[in-house]
Amino acid sequence: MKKMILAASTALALGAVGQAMAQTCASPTPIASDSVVQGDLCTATNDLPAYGNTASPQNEIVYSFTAQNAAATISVTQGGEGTWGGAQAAVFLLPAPCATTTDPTAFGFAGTPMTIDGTNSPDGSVRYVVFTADPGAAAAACGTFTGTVTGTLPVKLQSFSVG
Amino acid sequence: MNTKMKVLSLALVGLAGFAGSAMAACPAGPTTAEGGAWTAKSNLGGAVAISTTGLDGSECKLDTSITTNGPGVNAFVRDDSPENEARYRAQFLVNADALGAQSSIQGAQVFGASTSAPANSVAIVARLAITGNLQSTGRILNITTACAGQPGNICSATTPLAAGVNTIEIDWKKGSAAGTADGYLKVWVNNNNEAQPTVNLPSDSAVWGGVDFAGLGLSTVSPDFRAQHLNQIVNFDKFDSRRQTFIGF
Repeated sequence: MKKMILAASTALALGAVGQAMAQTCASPTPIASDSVVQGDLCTATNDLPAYGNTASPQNEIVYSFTAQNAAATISVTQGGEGTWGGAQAAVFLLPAPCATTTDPTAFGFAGTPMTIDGTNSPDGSVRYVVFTADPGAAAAACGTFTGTVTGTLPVKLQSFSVG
Repeated sequence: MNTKMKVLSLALVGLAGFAGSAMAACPAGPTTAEGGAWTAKSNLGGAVAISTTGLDGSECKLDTSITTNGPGVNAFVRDDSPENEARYRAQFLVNADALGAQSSIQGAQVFGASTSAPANSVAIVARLAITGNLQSTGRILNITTACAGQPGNICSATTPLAAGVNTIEIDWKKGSAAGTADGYLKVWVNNNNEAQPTVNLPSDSAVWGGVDFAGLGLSTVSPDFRAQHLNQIVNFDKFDSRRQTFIGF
């Protein structure tokens, strides 16, 4: 019998602490249940100059998940870099398409986690989690952030057996 | 004028209430699902509602306010009827008096016309925001439009707003060819003279797509606006949009 513990492999693949690369709408990194992601917005790009009717000249880092029994919160904290310029870090939930035409359906910031549930993320839907700086702040605002997922986003396989 | 845009225009005016339509009851909300005429509403950390009476003496108006002091909060309605419009005109009424004194760093977008084909890191091709003047004794309208080759790829101007209800009209025209500043954003504020807009911003805007949707209400609010103006209502009424003809009043 060959038994694979997919929970472990998933954690390895996605990273218990996922480092943000060039994550854009075109190439988002999956974000997992009960995980932590980190990134530096100063090395990212302004992939989405607007979130629908909201101008967003700051840089973004984009993750995605396919919802299944979604019930989670995503909290965001930010580093102490001066590049933030006093601006707050923020996280937004975008339905598909991940594009400038799409208005966020949920948001969060330091001290106020973003809520993911079956209403804003019904089963089977692809959703995008966008970390950025306050859209109302200076365009140059950026810095490091940590996003913490608490709860379920996609299906979380615990184990898988063959033969 | 395109039939669809004309119908849209009438529908949206209907939402806010025709002057003299006192017999009409206000819809439960601004969206079509609520009996209104807008495609959608967004109220992340904000509130969007319909109330009586209208700003023009009609039955109903749109109330928007920010209720949470956090980044990305908004309170607006959205119209998805435009389709890659190379020419887009719109008019609406706004009254921000309930904000009280507003400083020059307390800004909020009140209208945006956006394209689904952005360029040069700009997607909202015509954008209007309210803020206070330097003395915090009056309000001004910040006007920006997509403008290739300029700082931030936008051209901008400001003009004072009056106390009470303001009638604001825009006419956005996409440029014909890259490198040619024959596009423009014209804005009339309490001004019924089509030949002499209050602001005229010529722009090189051919690389952007046309207008695909518009938002009316509060968004992209500055941190100081959120901190100082929570739960203070900005009213809107009598929205109209079309392609070619001056709307006026």
